[in-house]
Amino acid sequence: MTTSDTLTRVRGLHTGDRGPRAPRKRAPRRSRITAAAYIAPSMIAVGGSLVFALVLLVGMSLRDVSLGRLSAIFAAPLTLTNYVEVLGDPATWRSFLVSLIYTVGSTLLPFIGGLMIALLLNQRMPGQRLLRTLALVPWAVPSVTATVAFVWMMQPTYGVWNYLLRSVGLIDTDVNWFGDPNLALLAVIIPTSWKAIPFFTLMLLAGLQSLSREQYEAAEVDGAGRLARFRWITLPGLAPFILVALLFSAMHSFREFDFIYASTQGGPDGATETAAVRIYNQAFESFDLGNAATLGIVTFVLVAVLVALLFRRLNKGSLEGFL
Amino acid sequence: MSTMTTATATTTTIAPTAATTARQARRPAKRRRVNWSFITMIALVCFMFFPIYWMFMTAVLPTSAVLSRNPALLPFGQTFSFDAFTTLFTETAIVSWLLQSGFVTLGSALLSTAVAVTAAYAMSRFSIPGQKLVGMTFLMGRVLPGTLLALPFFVLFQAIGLLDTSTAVILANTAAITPLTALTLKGYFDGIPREIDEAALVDGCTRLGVLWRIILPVSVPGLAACFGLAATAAWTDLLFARTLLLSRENWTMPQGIASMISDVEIHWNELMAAGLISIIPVMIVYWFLQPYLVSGMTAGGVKG
Repeated sequence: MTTSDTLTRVRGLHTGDRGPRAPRKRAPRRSRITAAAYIAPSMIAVGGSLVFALVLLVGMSLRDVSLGRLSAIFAAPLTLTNYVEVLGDPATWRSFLVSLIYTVGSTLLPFIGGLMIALLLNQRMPGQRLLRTLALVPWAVPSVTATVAFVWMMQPTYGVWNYLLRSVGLIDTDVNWFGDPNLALLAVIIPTSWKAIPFFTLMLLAGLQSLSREQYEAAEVDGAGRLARFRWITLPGLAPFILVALLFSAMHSFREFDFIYASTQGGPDGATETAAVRIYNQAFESFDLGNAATLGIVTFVLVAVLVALLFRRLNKGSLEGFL
Repeated sequence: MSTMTTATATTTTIAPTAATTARQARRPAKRRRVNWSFITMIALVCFMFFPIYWMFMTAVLPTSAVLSRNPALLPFGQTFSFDAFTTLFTETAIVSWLLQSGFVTLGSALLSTAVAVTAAYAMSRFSIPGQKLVGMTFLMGRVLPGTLLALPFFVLFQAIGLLDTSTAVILANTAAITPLTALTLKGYFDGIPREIDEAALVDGCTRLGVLWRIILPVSVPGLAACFGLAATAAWTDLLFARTLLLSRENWTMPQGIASMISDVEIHWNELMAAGLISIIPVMIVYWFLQPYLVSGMTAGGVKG
């Protein structure tokens, strides 16, 4: 089975089994034309720009160019120097490593937070509606705003974090969270995670509410304790939701630009320069268009391979309707 | 009538389940115990809310209180002033940033919702030629870093003379947002029985007529969620605005905020005030659309 086969099944895009009376098998030609016309605007907007972007990036990656006019780019002779340069540059591989750490960190941290909140919100407690609304608030904060808020809170001299840490005696010098190459990556993961918690809360809460209460009741009758019920009923039932949430969060973190750019711009010394940020920096800070395009293509290939591998391993049921 | 029920049923309401209610009701003896879940939840909510609270405190406290190594954590006994907001409106271009952001947001949300409606309807009702390709395209659009698109968009808009215009940002945003909106809306349309379409078609309605007169009117919550998600994404966009809007007078709100933090001397009060202002529109959208956004997010796996 090809990857795209799997993908289509996973995405639940097949329309073939939606109701017995649906006249799909012998879809008349006219309706196929209608379908194509309906899907066209979105394909032009999304597919068109993707194809255009890839063609242009491939074109630029094969030429030694800096930021300039379209005509000038394609007049330059073909060369492979960009690929030699980019693939041989340790900074390229470091940016992928930074991407990996950033993605894993800003997926797992909010997952833990979101799981805790979802489990709590699934219980009955006073002021439930209000608590839920408040717990979802970070979702409404623009990334740039969240970033400046955390940069301020984690500011070395006057930041409230260092103040609190000093007060309880955990630190005695002012920690420069965003400025220390060893801490900067952790520092940018924190606001990213904070904003991602509501997403996990919502996904996991939806999952929790889909679990059947009969199972819990049966388990309770059989004498299963809280922990046992969580381990043997909640976790397995929640697994598909966890999987989907982790996957989407990871996809999102991998693309992330705003948090990093607004706080460190990839610094200090490239400590927070993910692949996404490095592409931007190469293009718009170093004005090395060829290099940026090449890095873009390498990223694209890596992502395509990862996505293909991932979807091959996932069973189709768990993702049905989520993509 | 059955339309309405099905349409509402797709909206996931998050409320205590019957399971929890039943379990708690059966154990009245334990009700007097300290509710640790409640206490933990309060602590977590405080932690979640703290950054916003702190932004507010910084914005309204005088500079001397803000630039303190022992900042007051609670607002009691402090003098408040809204000078930071006044300064913000008189000494920065925030009005222009807000207007630009508003324009870009409305444009992107309208355009991507419009594009998504027909796409979602086609994905929900027809067998589309090249279905796999459509699916792959939307997925790729969601995984690839936006920076990868920013560079080609820059070159493209420069070539056609749209660089440094809001139109360019609107078009770029639409390309980036549409995969989310189309899939969210498709989920919603799937919840509307296709028998309705067929009944209308038999009665002589055209496909476009079905979409316009029958599907869209019952999809108002879905459309609202779709529009809200698109607007939020466009409102918060820094990347495309930063890449495509070069001159200062065209800047959007995120660009303005990002520029304030790279100033040599950062005015934290004003920066936090600007941050609070940037949250307000999203909060309003979020407040009104909360139930629909919840279903939209969980159905589309959309992260804001």
